Amino acid sequence: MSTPTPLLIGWSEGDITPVVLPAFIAGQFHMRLSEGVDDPLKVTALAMENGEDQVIFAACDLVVIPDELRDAVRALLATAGFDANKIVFNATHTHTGPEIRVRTTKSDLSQPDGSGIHLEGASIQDYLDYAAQTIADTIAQAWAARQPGSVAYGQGDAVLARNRRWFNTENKATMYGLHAGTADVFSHVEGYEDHSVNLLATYDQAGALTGLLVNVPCPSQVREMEYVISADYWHDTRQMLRARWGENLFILPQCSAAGDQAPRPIFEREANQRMQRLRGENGCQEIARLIADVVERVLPVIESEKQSVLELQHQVTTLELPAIPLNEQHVAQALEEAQNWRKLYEEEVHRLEASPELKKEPRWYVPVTKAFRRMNWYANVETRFHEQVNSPTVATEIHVVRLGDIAFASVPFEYYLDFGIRIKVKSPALQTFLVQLSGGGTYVPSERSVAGGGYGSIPASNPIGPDGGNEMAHYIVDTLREQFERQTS
Amino acid sequence: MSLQIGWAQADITPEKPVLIAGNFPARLSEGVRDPLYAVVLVLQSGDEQVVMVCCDVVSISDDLRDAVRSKVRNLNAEIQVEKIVINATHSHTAPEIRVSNPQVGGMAGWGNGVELGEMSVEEYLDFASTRIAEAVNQAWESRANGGVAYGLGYAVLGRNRRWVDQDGVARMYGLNAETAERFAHVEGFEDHSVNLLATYDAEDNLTGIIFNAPMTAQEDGGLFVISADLWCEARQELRRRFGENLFVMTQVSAAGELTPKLIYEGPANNRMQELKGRTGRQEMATRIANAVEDILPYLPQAIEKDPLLKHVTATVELPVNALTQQDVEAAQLEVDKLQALYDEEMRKLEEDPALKENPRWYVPATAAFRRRNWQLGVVTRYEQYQQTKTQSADLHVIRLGDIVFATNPFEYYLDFGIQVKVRSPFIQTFLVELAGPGTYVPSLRSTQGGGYGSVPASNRIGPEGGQVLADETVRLIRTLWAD
Repeated sequence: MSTPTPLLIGWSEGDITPVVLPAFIAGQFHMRLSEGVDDPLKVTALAMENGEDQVIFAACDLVVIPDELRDAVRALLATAGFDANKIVFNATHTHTGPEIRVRTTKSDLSQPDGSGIHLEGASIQDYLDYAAQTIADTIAQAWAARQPGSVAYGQGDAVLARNRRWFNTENKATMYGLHAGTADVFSHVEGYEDHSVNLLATYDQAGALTGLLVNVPCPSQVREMEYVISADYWHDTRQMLRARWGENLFILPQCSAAGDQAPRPIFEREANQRMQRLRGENGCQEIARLIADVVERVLPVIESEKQSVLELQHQVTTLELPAIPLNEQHVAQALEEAQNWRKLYEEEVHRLEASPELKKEPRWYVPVTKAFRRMNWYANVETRFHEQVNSPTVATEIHVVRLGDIAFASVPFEYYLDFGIRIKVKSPALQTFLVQLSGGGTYVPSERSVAGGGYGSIPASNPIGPDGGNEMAHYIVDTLREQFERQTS
Repeated sequence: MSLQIGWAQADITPEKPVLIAGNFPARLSEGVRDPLYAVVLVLQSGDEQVVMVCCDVVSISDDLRDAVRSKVRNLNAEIQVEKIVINATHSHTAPEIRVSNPQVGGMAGWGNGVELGEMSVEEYLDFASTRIAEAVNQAWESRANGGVAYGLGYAVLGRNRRWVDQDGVARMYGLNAETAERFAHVEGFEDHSVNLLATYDAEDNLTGIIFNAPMTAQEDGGLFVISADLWCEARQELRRRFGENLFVMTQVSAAGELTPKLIYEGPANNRMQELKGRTGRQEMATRIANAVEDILPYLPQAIEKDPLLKHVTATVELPVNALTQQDVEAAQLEVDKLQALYDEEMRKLEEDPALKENPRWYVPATAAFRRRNWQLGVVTRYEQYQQTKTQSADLHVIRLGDIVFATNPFEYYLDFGIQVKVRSPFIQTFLVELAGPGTYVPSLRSTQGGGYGSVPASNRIGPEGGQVLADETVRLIRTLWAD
């Protein structure tokens, strides 16, 4: 084995804000046409290489990374001089970014057939092509910018995302929906919360801070119901971090396992909102401040721990995970729901046809598209049931990266926290940076969540079930153990 | 009606060696690391009053509460002693305050099995209750017009210490490299909310705070010295930042299965503490002060001088755990084993008295004896259960404007606490556990996995009683809201 050479580190940031507007905004059942751009969407790339191996992280202000986007970027970088398979993409999960899933996107369980009504919006395929080119350019720039440097890591904590699922006294689980009218049947919050903040700082050869990789179990969806383009809290966070540590600081956001988490509480909401009012900040600004405060507590004490020569091992594999086993009962239940939504959809279409002037009202298309896409979401259970006969597995790209005493592991899904904690508990790394949504999603539910059901933990929500979730966790832990046992120096 | 506010603080550090409460082995105090305090806050509005007392002890025995009330009654007839509510920080390095009583059971129910010559529990109770009663009177006499403001923030303090393995079996602690293979998930939830009440004098100067969080004071629970645990450092840090005369009252929200210890990511956490040059206590103190700093500056705009004050007390009968003959047989087996172990330890000491020259010579014998007591308590409780199927619990529910305080005497598992918070109509609900003798009241899901804290031997009250307590607390809270 050879000795690793000093780490080469390169950063770059690109702008993936849609230029053709209005764009379809991704993240809700109902369609949303963008009504403006509040702040820019970014792709941030961090390339690291030590002569033995390489990793390129590429974080995008998008809801997911569909296979079509991943493959297009890799195709554009096929001759770029590095292994494009070593790119670890991830989405921040902003729900105010452009739709990027096209008709072929298997991971989208809700819209294989569009919106159900004609809407004038920018082409999704065109945006995908545009984003792919920009992301590829940004990655190529980061690779080209590689310079000797060092890294330091640390951990802090901040209460950012909260568990959004709760059990009632009848052992039924619900995502959200906890209010005065349902409070009396509340039993408990279903799962756990993870408030760890894993931080990797990079420095140039002179020891100056160049960038931060910030890993938090908090999807970027504070503004998820809005009709504007926005990077959500990561925009505010970038601004605040740069205000404190310099405007040239690169910031790469990663979301750790957080499939059942959201950046808002399901109880004590009124008290939270009151505090935001008293502080004069909104939800995005609050999270930005909390993250910046953690960085401020961690960064000064890890600077003395900089390392420029350290182990780098990066294993990429595609697992064939068992698709969630669907049966005829699942199909029958889903079709019943689909039928209810079909009725609603047809009523909405009829209403619009009978009164065309309704289409002059703002957001007139919301009810009809919601009904249509909900209908498809349920009907898709039947399609997937039939597909499972010939294709019982889901191809799942996983990256496992050892960097010195810490590790990164990516999963393409919205991975429920129980799996994430399982990996962290068993990992041999001092800190384990999990990266969810390195692909197209969607929910991979924990065992206990499936027992309660509800959105996120029923077959209509899940490409794979707890078995597949466990298989991923086992693979990641086993690979990490191999990496930490193996020494290249 | 204007609000009158009074604060006082008493030093309740024992002046002689005492038995330290909180763990199975007896611990004779070998010194005082830092002082223990009782902090008193009096609120009065018209005819309504509340006297809140927080003590750096493991729990509040009925003996301590009754002694304080009796002494206050003698000192000041204006104070309604039934409106005195006393809670513990749950320091595991403070004197034993539970008088040995087989009817109560528990690890101290039949003494310690070894004579150690310590200050007796009765003597310490008399000492502490006198100091506390004087502080109550002092707070009462010092009350003056003032205001209050409240806020909510977050800090990662108490961590869930129970985990479930892949077979559904739960454990408290014990997660390590070896057991990690079987780890499935952390059993329950964590609550990182910090409920803060700040008090101000007539000129809007800050005078004190109530810091309410689901965190017990047991960062250093195994020491053989007297200490307020992390609250020593936390008070210092708060006073450093917000004024040396600041009164700091601590309340532990529902946190039966939480402690300041992590059950995973320990190495990363320890590394960060080392890099920061902090002990665990200092780290907690910093987090506490940071949380206060995130709230306090925004509160002066929301000071209220005349919030509605209402204080109701209630005694609720809770169904006790239905122990089975099987539980008794299992407990009796353990009693016999532990008795044999204790006898063996005592035999060694009798045969070789020189052993008593060794430091902490008494630990093995008392550990066996007090564990025996704990198991014997199951047998006693089974006998009591044949006569009575309920246990009474005292509750205080206090409305202060748009916020509410609700106390219970137990180490109340978090699921129940969240239930009360979810169902409460108040904007902030300050739950106060350990406003009495304890002990664990487990959640329903925790009893499915079992383990220390969630088996009948640990608990006089089970999930059924816990639910009655939650329902009754919510009922009282809603009654006050309707006022």
